[in-house]
Amino acid sequence: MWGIEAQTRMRGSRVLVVNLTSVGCEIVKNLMLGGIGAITVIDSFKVLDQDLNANFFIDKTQVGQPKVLAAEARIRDLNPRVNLTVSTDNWQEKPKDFFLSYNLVVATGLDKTQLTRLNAITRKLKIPFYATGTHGLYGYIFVDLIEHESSVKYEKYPTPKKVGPLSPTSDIVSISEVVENDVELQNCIVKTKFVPLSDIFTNNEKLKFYFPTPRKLKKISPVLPILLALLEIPSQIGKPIEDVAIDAKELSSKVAEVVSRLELPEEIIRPDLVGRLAQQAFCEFQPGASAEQLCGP
Amino acid sequence: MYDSHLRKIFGSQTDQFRQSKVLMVGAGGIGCELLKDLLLMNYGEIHILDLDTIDLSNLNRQFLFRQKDIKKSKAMTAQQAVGHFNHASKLVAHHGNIMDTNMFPLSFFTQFDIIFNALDNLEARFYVNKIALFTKIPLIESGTSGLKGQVQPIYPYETECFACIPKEQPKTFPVCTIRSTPSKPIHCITWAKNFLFPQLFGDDVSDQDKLKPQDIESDNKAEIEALLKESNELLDLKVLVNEAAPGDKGFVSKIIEKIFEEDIERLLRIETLWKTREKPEPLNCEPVKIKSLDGQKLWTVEENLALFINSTSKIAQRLKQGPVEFDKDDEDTLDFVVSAANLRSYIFHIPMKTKFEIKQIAGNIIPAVATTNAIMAGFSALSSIHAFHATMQEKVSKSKMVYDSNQPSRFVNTSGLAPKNPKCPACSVTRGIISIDLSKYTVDGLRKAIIDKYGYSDDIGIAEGTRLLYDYDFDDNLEIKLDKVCSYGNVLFISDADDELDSLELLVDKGDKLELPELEVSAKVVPEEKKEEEDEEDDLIIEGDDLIMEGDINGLDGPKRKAEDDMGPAKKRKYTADEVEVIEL
Repeated sequence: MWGIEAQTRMRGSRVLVVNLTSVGCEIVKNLMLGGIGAITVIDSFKVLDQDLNANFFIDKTQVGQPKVLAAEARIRDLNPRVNLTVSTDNWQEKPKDFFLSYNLVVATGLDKTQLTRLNAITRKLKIPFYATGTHGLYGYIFVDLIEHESSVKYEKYPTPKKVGPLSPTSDIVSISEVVENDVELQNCIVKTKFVPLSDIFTNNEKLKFYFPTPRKLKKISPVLPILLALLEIPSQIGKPIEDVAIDAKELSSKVAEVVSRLELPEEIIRPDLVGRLAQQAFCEFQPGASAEQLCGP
Repeated sequence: MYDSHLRKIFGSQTDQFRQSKVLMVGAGGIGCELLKDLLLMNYGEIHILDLDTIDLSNLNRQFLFRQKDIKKSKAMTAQQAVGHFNHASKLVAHHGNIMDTNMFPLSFFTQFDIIFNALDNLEARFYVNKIALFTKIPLIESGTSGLKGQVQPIYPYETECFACIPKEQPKTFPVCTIRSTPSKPIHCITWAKNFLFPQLFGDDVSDQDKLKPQDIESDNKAEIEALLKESNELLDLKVLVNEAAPGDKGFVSKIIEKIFEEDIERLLRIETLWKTREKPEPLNCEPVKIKSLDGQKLWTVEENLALFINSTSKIAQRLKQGPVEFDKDDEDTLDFVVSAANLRSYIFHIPMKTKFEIKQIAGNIIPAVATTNAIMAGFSALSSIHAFHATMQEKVSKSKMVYDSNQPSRFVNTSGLAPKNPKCPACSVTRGIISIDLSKYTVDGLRKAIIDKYGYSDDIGIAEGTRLLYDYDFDDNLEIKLDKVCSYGNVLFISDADDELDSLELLVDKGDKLELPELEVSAKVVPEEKKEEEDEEDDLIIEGDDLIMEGDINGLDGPKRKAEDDMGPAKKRKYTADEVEVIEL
């Protein structure tokens, strides 16, 4: 599919997955099936009743056990050739060296403080970082590959690309010409510079590039400021979901803050949607998580 | 509570899932993922249907199956594999073919509230689509191919059905391209696998299988003659293969002389073929000694030749024990196809390919990726939520078609469901279900009942598939009981002898007497003149069945509309609350 070289690279990769949430389970499953070299799953929570409908690695006799220990055997069974380790430690108490041996870190269900902190570590160690989470039927993915080269094909005409800046975050570093099915194409090596996640909460420069006009700004999903606002609330994963009560009013005012900070149009705030997300916040829903997962480096 | 998350998200709708019965057709790549999702939505009853057994190559993506399950039924194994995380659903597994009307009569389908397709072939997809049209059960269609995939919810007659947009058929090649003027590696691989291999090692070629002049779609008389001569001589070679003594490789050099030298020289003499093409060069080289060759690397023509000799003599010996068929996992047969294809490529100045690449093509391997399957299965399960809205208008307007995006800035695109295509061969037809006891009624009884019920002015024609049961020129069957000429599960095609009213399709279902469905049969619309679009070059088939090169079989490349991919991401796009979105900054 992606060639032997990429498969070999995958086999040599070590991935750290932080938190075995419903979307965490999907990621672990797909990495195991894809044949990654080694996976470590770190999660300090215990199995609750509610996990039975969100985590397909555990069964009802395991309620009360540490989640990763309960799931370990079934995860390993997916592909015995993957070197799997699990840890019930709290990742936040791990020294920086702990992260050093990984080629990729994937975290799920973190809040803004945790994200910023983990991302600072991955940046310092130059490890690509994915963060994702779900709130019921909604979800997000953040990506920080720090600096990433990819090859992209563009049609040559009508406007041929030139070596140089492509967007505020990417540059074309080289171009080679190819003809495919009689169409002249430019195969561009594009170098993309990612921003640290902390930037997205405050900096609206990039938004302005992608959505330069008021009309375009209206295309931004009204879910975006709400998801960003929810990140400001301390992560509630691992708690009984009945006890998670997000006040819609409080969320509303956080959304308003996000909107003004990012200079988004006021109309983007949709109170009905804020209410719905307050209700669904931190809920796990497997089909949503499936649709939301991502694939490795 | 195990379903606390669901209750918080869906409130009382959670119970609607619990009270619903759904059918999942296919327990393969998408099916395994979908079953997990449907279970974790706590659907009340889930039927899993698949005719297949588990193969080694399934294990890297069909996460419910293990080594120990190989050769077991997919449906049954999947049912057992999910036991530990099934907390609310009743599971029923069916090991069988969805198109088997004895095993799955109409009454089987009508018990379901939603049907999920997780299939890998077009035929079964069209079949389930038709069942959905007869029963009006919502159908959620899904498919993937590599990193591409899509999900299409179908509300019969309300939205586009699976047949509304014509599907691309597998690609085929003209015989003459394969046999005399190859220009691409695939042509040579097809020649080696679908022509040369069966010619040399297949069962004895009967007269029927012999190449006939009319099979070669070429106006070039010389070319036809050359190909016919070539065919007859191949039969002589087959005798050599059959008679080869153990360890004898001498016969292989005769084969090489003929197919890589003489046949090429014969083609070269037909000069008209080479006016616009580069001339092939008959093979002129000696094999080298080979030990083990790296399947990832390109081999020299001498190495290919040596491998051709080795594999041909090995297969010839194996034939003495029994028939040998091409199988991508059978090293001898794969080596034969790789070396023969490469030698032919070399002769025709076409780039040679590695064994690895040829295995993909000849083995017809469609890359399947666990993650794509998981994502599309997720969207399929999510789509089913909309089937629970109170009104059809809501169901349709809230549903979305989901497909992979070819824009780097988006992972998936969505579009609203299109209305049905008025020219669709499947859903523009008026159809219904007749409930009948076939042993009690004659063809004539049925004919009269239909004429009365729907107001055909004079007479009708009745056909089952391509089999005519009655029309005014063919009344032999009139007094015959229906159970002699058709069976339950058949679809009867009713046409107006006067061409005034539209045709009808009636599905025969078992009943006590004869009940015809309430249908409005409208006046026939005179069809616009048919376009002549059949005459394309690619129509002629050489073993077209397994020549599919990219895309489509696993997936649904066909119906993919010019989507928002092309129109800019958000034309008329509304962000409805229950939509899953991927936002990228």
